[in-house]
Amino acid sequence: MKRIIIYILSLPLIVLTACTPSIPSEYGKTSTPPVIYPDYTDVTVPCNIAPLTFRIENDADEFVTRFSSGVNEFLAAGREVSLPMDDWSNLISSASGGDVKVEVFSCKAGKWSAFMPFNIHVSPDSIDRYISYRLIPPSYVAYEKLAICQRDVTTYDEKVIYSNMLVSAEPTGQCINCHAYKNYRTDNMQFHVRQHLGGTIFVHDGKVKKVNLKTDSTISAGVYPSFNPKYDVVAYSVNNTGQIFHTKNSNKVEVQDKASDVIVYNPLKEIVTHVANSPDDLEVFPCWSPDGKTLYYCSAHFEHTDTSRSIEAEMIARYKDVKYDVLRRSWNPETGEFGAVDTVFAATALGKSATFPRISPNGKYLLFALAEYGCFHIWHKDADLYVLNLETDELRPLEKANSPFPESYHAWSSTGRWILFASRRDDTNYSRLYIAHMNDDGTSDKAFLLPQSSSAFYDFFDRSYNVPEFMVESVKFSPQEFAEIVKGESVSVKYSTDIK
Amino acid sequence: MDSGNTKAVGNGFVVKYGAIIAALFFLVEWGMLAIYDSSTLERIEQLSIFFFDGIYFKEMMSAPAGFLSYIGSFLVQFFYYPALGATIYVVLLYLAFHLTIKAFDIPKHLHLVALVPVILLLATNTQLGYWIFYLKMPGYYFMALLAVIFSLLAIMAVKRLSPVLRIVFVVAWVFAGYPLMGVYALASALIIGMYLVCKRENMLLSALALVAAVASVYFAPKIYYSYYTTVPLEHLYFAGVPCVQWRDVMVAKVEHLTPSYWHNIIIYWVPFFMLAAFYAIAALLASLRPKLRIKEKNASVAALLLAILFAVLLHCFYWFNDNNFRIENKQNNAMWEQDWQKVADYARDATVPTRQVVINKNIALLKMGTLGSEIFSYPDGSSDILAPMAVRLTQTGGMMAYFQLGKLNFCYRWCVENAVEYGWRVEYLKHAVRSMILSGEYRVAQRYIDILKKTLFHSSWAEEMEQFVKNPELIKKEGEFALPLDLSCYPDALEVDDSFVEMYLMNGFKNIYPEVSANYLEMALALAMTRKDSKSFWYIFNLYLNKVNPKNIPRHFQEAFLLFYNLDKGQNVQVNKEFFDRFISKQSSRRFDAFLKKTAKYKGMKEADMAQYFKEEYGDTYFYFYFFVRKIRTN
Repeated sequence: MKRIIIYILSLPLIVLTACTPSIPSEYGKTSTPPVIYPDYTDVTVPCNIAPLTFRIENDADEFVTRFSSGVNEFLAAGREVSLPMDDWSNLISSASGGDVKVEVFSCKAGKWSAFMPFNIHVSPDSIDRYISYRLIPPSYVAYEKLAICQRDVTTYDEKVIYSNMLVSAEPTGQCINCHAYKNYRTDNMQFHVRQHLGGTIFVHDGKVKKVNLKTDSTISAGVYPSFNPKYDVVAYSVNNTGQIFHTKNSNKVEVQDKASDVIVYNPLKEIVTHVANSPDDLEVFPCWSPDGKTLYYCSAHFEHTDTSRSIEAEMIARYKDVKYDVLRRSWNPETGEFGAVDTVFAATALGKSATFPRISPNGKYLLFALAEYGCFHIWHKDADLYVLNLETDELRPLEKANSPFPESYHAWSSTGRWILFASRRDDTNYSRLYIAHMNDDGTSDKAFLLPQSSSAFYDFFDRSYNVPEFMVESVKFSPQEFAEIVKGESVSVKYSTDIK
Repeated sequence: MDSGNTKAVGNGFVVKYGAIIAALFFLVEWGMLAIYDSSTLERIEQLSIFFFDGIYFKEMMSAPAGFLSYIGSFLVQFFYYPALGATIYVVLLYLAFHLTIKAFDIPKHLHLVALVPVILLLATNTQLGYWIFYLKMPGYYFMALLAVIFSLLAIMAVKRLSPVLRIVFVVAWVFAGYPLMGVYALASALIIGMYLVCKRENMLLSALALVAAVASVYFAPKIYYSYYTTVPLEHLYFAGVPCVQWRDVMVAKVEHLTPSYWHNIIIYWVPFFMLAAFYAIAALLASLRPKLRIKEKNASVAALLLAILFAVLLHCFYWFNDNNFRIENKQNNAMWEQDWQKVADYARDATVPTRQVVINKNIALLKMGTLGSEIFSYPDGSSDILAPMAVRLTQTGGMMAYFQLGKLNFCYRWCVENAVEYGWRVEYLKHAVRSMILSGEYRVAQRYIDILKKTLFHSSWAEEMEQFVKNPELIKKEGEFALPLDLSCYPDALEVDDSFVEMYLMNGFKNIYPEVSANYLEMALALAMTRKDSKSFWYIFNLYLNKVNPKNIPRHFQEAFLLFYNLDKGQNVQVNKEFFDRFISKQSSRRFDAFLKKTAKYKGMKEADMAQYFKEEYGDTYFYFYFFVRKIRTN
């Protein structure tokens, strides 16, 4: 009996020992690194990122992976490589400013061999703890389940900020989009609700309200937002947007603005005013400078020359002629007046179209997406991220972050050390979030895919990530609290020529 | 009253033959499902998906009743083999029948009354019709049935508990069951509460159990509201039943409904209400039955008649028996099997076909090289779609039509759009795979192949497709891809279809490009003839002669030529005798002349009468289509 009890008690130990991976005593070496998904080879990660889980795609019967940094060493067995949170934290803490060395050993037909090791570079620059994004199927017109979510990037935790399903159902569908924050904090934030119970859900100094930003003098309610980081105003574009479909081109869809302007909203006085509304110009994608005294935006000049057809028809026919430059106007917060238009980057001179300008927190760099034409680069395969040094006018593509597939919807972290962007590089259709470390000289390191608890997550996850934003804190309202505001009445803004 | 009393019943007809009657009932229903409705079951399977995966499970469980949906989806996949799927379904129906008897201690002479909920469960499915394309509830076909089985098991369990534990059980049933079963957990808790009170075993505690059930039913959805972010609060009380979708569609479009609004209420909602009512009455009668002094013989006859009445109602009013719906599904299944003759043959079964039936038939004829000689020899027209909501080809046969006719991006677009609305389904995934392979977008095709490879019945198809991704050289050698590749000879353009597939195809095929093939021109001609557009016909016909240089012109093209030439009276088109001799057969000329003479002779006749009169002799000609098949409504 005693013996049986000993056996039973020692069983967990036996099982545990049997499952503990070990490095083979003898093995050959191969001159190539392992093929892994997501590709985390030689990427630079922040010192507080969640564990990078990946799978080995090489053909073999068994795998053992060794992560090492200084005295720390952790082993993982199997094709799916994942370290427990504590082990990973210890590993990257000790590797901060250095590298985690990753060695993969594989066994095929009883023979072990070691792939060429690769490194994961661990930057001492930490990353903002939260990011938020909209999850949307990569659709064109239809939408059903849309959610704006926040993710703690130091773990795998994801929470819904707001889901359109909380108040909508057939046939009263509801689109939600364009979440934005002031200074990476959530006491001042917003997102739009379209169609059913439409309006802008606006959190102002911790209080939430629904605002109707449409006036008789503007072509639509607010669309692409940008909170002024220093003053109590928010810039928006107002757009008349349409979609049309390629019959063959793999870009699939063109999203075009038939008209667009830029406005500014004063949430204290509930007024809006135009910043840019030239009749033959399509102004869009406003972005404030970090000092709050300059407004950047994009503008395309498009004249309706063929009066035999509508502007929509002409724009469809000449869709490759719609190209955007990056402009800016100074703003005097005392008087509320804007200065003269200044061209920051004349993409059209290069035969290109620049969109989605984003200024680094130190004000030194302009980050934007560049492609051959159009405004909606997330559907353009040639769209890449570029950085313009605003001090030297030096332009460079972010070669280590870009891919042959679309990159867009980029954002700077609060420290300016990381950028977050959407790319369709994984399977060409679903946009996924990538994070890249930015260096002092405006170059980036190799970008890495937002880690998930399973490497198979993205294989079956049927939503695209778009408009990712960094946040230093989580959203303070629950989805249900937002839903109650959505169901309520909205505050209507008035148009004024004086934003002050 | 308990089942022990049945010994005294004697050998009445119902008691004697009850089991046989029930067995016959289940056998007939199996036949109806596995044989009569086999094409529908196959389509339901195509419009679902199941695979073992954590993300899939999590997605399913993101709404109340997710567990029912998950298990239901698992079971629906067996409709891939309709006989197997129908067997599983009927076995579960029998289980529901058996458990109903056990849970409510129904005596033997009344056993047949337990067929009533079984018939109601069937009615929740058999009336679906075109809803199979639009329901946003994966696994719906099995959900109510599973819920009833679980609920009956709960009733059987609660009977074995002490009165105090029954209260705990009821509360636990609601709070644990609601995420898994949604409204079914709430309804069954109320029925359990009623049952316990009616049993009168311990009135105080039984009443407490009922109060606990009512309170739990009221509060549970409210409490879970903070957990679920995908369901509005007011919908939480209906979670698991698609009546919200039915209500919204019907309320929004009541003025367009055919048949009437109330008819639809009866068709879609009543089976659920009656199901709840049946079990509520069964619970009430649990204690009352012994006191009702009804002769067993009378009661047994009443039970039999009730079962017969419900069975008759089921088959007369709750079984969607639209012929076009079945033809469409049969054609769809045959199209996946590449059996083009079958696709065309099914079209002959329609009296007045829907446009989808016609489009499918045209594709089949083009595949078989007989479009120009047979297109108008089949029933034609544009029958109304029998559905309470607007049914669009984009959700039904549009993806197949787009793929086969070379509109690959539009095929893919609607796969994605539909997946957004209704979730990814096998049919969407398969269309997406094929269209992306032919578009050369192998990475995204591989993504969908990987999902299909995880399914039980579509992995081998996915592996077949994978060979084209791994070795694209094989694509051009694959017969299945020849026509769509051939027809995708147009340059890129920016276009919209506004959800009107046939109209978009008709307009698209008006455009003729330098690289167009013979197949393209034949389809362009056929569509110009369908539009009765002589201008397009002449333009395309001219190109057809020059590019294809046919030895013989197909019969219907000859007929169109004769008709339009006659209507044109040689004003815009001049043709010499040599052309007539070479291309226009004497038979076509003779028939056309005879047709003209006959129409002149019966000029005064009403058009409808004329159409009927001419049908037998000229029903297979383009002349007939041109003059007598009117008001084609594209979809």
